Amino acid sequence: MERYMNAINFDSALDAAGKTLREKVVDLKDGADQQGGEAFGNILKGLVDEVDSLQKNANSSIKDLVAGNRNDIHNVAIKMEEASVAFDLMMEIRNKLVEAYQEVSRMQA
Amino acid sequence: MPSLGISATGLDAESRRMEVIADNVANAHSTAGPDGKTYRRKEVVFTSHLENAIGGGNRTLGGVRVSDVIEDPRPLRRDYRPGHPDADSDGFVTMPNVNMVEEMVDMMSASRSYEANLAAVRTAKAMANQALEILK
Repeated sequence: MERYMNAINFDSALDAAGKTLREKVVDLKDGADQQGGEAFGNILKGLVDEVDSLQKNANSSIKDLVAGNRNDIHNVAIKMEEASVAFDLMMEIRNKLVEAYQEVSRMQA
Repeated sequence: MPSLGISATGLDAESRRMEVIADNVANAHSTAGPDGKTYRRKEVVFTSHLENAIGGGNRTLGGVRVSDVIEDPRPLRRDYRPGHPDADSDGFVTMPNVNMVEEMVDMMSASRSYEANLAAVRTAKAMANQALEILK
């Protein structure tokens, strides 16, 4: 049962991360419309923080596994994989943001 | 990614099943347990999980869990071993009802089911990565 709860927890964590990510992207769009929404830096930082928490979560389960507090290798591997996919998603969004920023900064007045 | 969570429950259940099979194999020749009784073959019962569904996902999909570990009611074997400390007055020892061949088949089944769940995990992961390719 405890293991099952773990499965639910990391899943909802990822979903929550995805939800906030969506909100951020919407914020970005709104910000562009209204001139001066959330700063680029804050958006990036928010993304990084969320991915960081997933990675910390994965790390702590790796530590638990190595210390012998748990023996479900598959759940740890899935957590690592989710952290990795979330990181990839963050990187892609970061690339898009930076690309858009550079596009704007190259614009002639 | 709810499908990963569902597959995780499948992996949990299959590894639990493997634990029970290992217990059966290990105790195939145990004539007495902590309660003094002969070991009986154990079996897992899988139940699909409906309520308490994985967060964010489809409310009717929740994966699987091992709801119970039951004992095999089939009769125990009786071997004639007069010198054995657990032998009765007629010289018969009650042996567990574990059939090694059956356990081997169960083990293969557990291993293959685990593999199938892993394949589902891999596919879900590949789908997420393919979606990321849109951004590239």
